[in-house]
Amino acid sequence: MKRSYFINAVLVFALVTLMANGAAFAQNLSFSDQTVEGDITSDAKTRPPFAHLVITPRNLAFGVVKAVTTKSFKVKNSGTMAANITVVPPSTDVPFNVTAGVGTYPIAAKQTQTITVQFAPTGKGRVTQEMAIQCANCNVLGDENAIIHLAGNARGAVPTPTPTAVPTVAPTPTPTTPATPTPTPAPTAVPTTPPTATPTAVPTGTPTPTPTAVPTGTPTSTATPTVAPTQTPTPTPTTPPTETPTATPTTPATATPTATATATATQTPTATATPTTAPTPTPTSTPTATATATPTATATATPTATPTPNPNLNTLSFSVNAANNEPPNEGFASISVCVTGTSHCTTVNEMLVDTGSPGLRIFGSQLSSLGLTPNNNGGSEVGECAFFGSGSTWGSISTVDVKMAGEPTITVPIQVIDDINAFAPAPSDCTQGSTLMSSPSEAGFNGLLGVGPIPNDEPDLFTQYYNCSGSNCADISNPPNADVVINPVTAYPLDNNGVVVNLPSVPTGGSAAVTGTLYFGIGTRTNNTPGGSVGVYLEDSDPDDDNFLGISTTYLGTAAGGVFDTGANGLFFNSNSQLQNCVVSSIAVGFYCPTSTTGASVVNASIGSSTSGTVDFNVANAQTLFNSGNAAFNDDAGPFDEAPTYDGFDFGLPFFFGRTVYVGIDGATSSLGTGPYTAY
Amino acid sequence: MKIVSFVWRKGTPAALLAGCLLMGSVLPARAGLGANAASVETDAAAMQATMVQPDSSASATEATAASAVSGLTASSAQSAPYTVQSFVTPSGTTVREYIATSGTVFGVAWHGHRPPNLTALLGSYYGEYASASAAVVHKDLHRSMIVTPNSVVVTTGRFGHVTGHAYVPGLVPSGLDAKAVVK
Repeated sequence: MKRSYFINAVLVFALVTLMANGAAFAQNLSFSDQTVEGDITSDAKTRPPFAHLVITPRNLAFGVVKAVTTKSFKVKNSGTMAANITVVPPSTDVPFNVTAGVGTYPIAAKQTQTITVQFAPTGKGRVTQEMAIQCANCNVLGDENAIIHLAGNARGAVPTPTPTAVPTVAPTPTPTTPATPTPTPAPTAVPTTPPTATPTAVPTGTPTPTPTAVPTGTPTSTATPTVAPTQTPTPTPTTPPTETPTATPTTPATATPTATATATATQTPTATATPTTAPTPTPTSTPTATATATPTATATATPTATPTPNPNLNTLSFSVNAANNEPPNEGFASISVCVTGTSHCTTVNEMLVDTGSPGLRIFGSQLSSLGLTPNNNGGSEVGECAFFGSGSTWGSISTVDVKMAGEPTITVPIQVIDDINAFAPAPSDCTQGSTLMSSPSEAGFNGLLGVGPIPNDEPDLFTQYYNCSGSNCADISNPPNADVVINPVTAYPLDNNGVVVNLPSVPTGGSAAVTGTLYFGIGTRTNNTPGGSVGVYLEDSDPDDDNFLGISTTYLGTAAGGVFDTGANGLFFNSNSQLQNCVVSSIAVGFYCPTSTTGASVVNASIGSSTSGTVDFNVANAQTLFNSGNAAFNDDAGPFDEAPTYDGFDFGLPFFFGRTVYVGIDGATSSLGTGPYTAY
Repeated sequence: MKIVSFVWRKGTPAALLAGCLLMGSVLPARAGLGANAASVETDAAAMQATMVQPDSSASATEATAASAVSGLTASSAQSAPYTVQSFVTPSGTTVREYIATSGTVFGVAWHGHRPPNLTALLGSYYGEYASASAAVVHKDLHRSMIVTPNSVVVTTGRFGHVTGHAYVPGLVPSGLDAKAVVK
């Protein structure tokens, strides 16, 4: 794994930075080969008690729902004393209703509170609301009023679920004495009396009425040094061992193990936690997982700096090189897929980077070493059919761990495209409409890395889910959330609002190989922050429109829709008979073959804002291009279908060369606005 | 190196096709391309679809079924050599069938979130389409054109929105450009 060298170097940098700042680590970070569970309190001697909220994610994008749907986010106090927070719901409880976690209460040090939001649309269309998490005594700027963006979409009102249980009193456990932010190594936030169940809310009839607020009264030592690293690190002996002594206890190891535990394990999977004595920082890269004691004693300085997210953990490179008989102009990345919660992993190469679809879909033959089993839904195995322009993918849904670039490991459901007959045969309504993608060689990829502008793959609308038993599969219109394939980007704690695609320019005639970069997140780090000259093209957010997720385009006076799609290997549009099709016998059939390179342009316009601009491009003779042996072209184009008249533009990969393109997820917010949008 | 997705397949014997057509005439449930106008309703029923009422704003040459109750007395428009009848499937896909004045369905087109039941729409032509399509290597994610000796089937689009059309050149009214009409 080539990545390891780089990643470990990054870790060194991260830790050095943290120690230098003397600041709390705001994000949970994990690396592809090791996990660092945040909150590295590095310099305890000079640190006063503090509180800081880590909220993940800050966008709740529900996508298009057909039923009342709940999602949640987590608020973690990464500090060393209790954080007194108020969860402020949206101004109205329709359509977004905070069903758990609302109110004012403390979160003890190292504790996490889950806030649950229910989306019950009352009509068609997309709606957004905001809610806030306010911390009265935190020490990091921004925590005093952190805004959470809520967004959802629907094709109409959805039925209200019948309450299944009599709503009991929703107690808001309030410790009668505030958690004492003691600087001693004692457990933090110990409610001295049991929580008093004060009936503060009248049950509204919603089925989940319990704000299960936190303080459980149990003093906790949250970070147990004995936690074994969940993944097997790949030892990389070249990395300096500097990161090992993550915490040097300045007092005997009897203290509360507030620090990091899992931070270690970076080099060797020992993680055996030898906590009884002060960890010996062995420079031989034996991380000892421990940091058993981070005595938070006697601190003096106030932490002021907000930690800067490491700038490079969100970059996934991809190649356009037509290796392995791949078609030209297709960008492929490598990702790691693991059995959930284990170090049993495999690397999948040739994952097609596709901004035209959401979610991970991987041929089962590429995952066979993992021995995955389909997700279980009430005794049935979950299957899915997803429909693409040229065919469908059929297979089981399995929840796996996924590691991409230096991002934290995410646990997400993926579609395992069944090319090895390991699952039930495809139901007829999956095969009747189009042919199945049956193998990597036939499809031209090992899997799809779908990072398009919707948060999930829209069950019952764009896709069909099934409960399968043996070889029999029955439609299910509302699969459990846990089984719905999501855009993996939405699972990241920080970089969850979209992606940035960057490809260098290619010369006339093309290049043999080009390396591009996929950045996760928009404006979440230095490397994915848009420049000032970026034009933001808002996209159609009505899922019933043919141009859903598209912009407006005009070609030769004819207006139609348009989409940006790295998964398309050309610029596809009908040219009003301006361009000559390649002959049928040509290797470039389906593309344009003008006798000489022809300049053309299309005018793009945002939907819902005034942004517009002209895109100039060339159309070269595709047969000449493809015969050149090169793999990356900015001027291959073809008709979208057989019709002569212009009916829309598919900006495939040629558009992306020489550009930095921002793809904002529907309902997610960045400095460029709220998705769906494409900006460049 | 296989570069593109559009693959043209040949080789289905006409005799086999004729046999299929013959079977189609025996089994009224078999509809789609090559069948008669009444088969449109059969197709719609097979997909549990809803016939689309005539749209006054629609092009005269694209009149749709007069009413779901009275069946498919589609108004023929002026001298246009064909009529169009359309229906919408439960998943929201719009299907249009193109019927020559002779009463034969010569083309079908669709657009929506997911493809319609091509087994029904292509009727007796489905078999040669399916075998040719299955033989395609390195299918493009977005476009597929399958040309057999008797039919042309084009499917395009992306995740969430697919379009397509199919026609039988031998059944297209003379003088009509199927590429421009069937869409």
